[in-house]
Amino acid sequence: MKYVVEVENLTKEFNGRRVLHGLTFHVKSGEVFGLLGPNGAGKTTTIRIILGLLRPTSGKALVFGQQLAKRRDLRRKIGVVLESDGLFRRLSAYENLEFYAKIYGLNNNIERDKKVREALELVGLYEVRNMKVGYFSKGMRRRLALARALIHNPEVLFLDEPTLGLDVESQTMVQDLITKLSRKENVTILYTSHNMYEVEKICTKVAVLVKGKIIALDRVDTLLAKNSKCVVEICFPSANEALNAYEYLRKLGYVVNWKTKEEKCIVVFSEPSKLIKELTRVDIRVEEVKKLRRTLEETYLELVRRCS
Amino acid sequence: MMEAIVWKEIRETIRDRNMLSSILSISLLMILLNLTSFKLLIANTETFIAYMAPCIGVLVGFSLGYRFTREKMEGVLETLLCTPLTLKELWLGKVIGLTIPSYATSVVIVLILTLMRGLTIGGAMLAYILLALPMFIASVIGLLGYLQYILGMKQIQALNFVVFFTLFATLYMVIRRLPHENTVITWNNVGAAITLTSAILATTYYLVTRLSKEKVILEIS
Repeated sequence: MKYVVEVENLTKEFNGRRVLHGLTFHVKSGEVFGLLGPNGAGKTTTIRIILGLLRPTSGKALVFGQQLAKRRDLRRKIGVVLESDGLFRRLSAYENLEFYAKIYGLNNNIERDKKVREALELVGLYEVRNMKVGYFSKGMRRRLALARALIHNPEVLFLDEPTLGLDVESQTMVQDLITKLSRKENVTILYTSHNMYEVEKICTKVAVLVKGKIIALDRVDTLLAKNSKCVVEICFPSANEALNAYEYLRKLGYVVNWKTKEEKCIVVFSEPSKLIKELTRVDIRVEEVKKLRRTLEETYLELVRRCS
Repeated sequence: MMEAIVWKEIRETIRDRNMLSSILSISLLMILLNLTSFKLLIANTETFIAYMAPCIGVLVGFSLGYRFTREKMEGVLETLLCTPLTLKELWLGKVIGLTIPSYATSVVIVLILTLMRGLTIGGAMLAYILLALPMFIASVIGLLGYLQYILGMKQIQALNFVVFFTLFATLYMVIRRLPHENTVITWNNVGAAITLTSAILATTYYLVTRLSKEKVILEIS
């Protein structure tokens, strides 16, 4: 299979200190790939190597089978939003996009103007197009950076925390835009974020990076299924019965971790069918049993905790 | 693409109110200096102007050259290096874009001084103003830009400090030692100045072509 982004045995050392330990992952066309990990895990370094800004110590990082550092024509096919916005504060939103459009080879004035206007409208900044970027809020700058990354219709997008500092409405707008780009226009997206809800919503595949090593690499749904112990919430008719049930289940070893909810419910980790059998056997009345879905955030935290 | 960078730089200079006021202050200072202390100097007027012109240009270029560092600090450079632009195109575009306003300021002041002194601009002087002067300003801005790319923030601060004081010390010492009668603007001197500045510019360009993106990026962090 032909991959858009290929990372093979990638290692990176800074002054003899290894920060990436043989990373290997591939991103298919149209996929939204999430690169997750705590601060200092090596996400930005990995992206910088793929973008050709840093040289790998060993291994390779290719986009369309080539190194971006050596191919300027391929750099026309990518769009980036890095940690910093990369915008000129003294220029207006329109002028910023116009400049980047020229850099990406949009030389026709009418076509360029159309593209710039469309991009500004897409991120909801058309009304403030003549305002200097220096007066923009962080969220507005982030949206403008996204517009800049999309101005030349890239085939691959590298987005390093694109929703950082955005309000909920803008976050949703960006998330919907990314999903649309991936599904309808088959844009391949490499995405980093600390917002696990967002990653779960938009990413198809994720790699969890801890201390420069990949500790999990899978489709989001598979990862959730693989790493989730069954979480069940059981509600009882009274708080007293809930306490009795808790003591009983704890003795049997079903309760790994628990919390009470409205004093009548307990949350246990075990297999629901066995649990119900056990409770029925000792005549503990159960009002309701709910199998809780594990979130990516919980799975991620457990993976990171396990690793450290 | 280079054209886009050059225009962007000029546009940014026009928008930068602090920078415009600095340029205006330098210009006024130079004219005021000329009005108040020039009469005390016994130097040849043409020579005096020939020394002042590059100093003014470099001073303005030095102030504008901070943009190399600012783009590094604000992460703009990192984003630009992900575009089809190469580091040498970026450097060259910025050098041209910053040289134009610096040169323009310098020429305007030179013309004012020339008119005030009632000088006529001869062939060598014209060659000096049209060729040697922009080349000199561009070579200094280029070298400063290169150094700002490869140095870390603390080193850049030290560099700025050194350049600023060296510039004023040189200006002060040079003015005191200017030749009294003969002009330094001869065809030979203009030729030598063009050769020297071309060599500096070419060497810096070569160094920029050898510069890795990694070196620049890591100096940001």
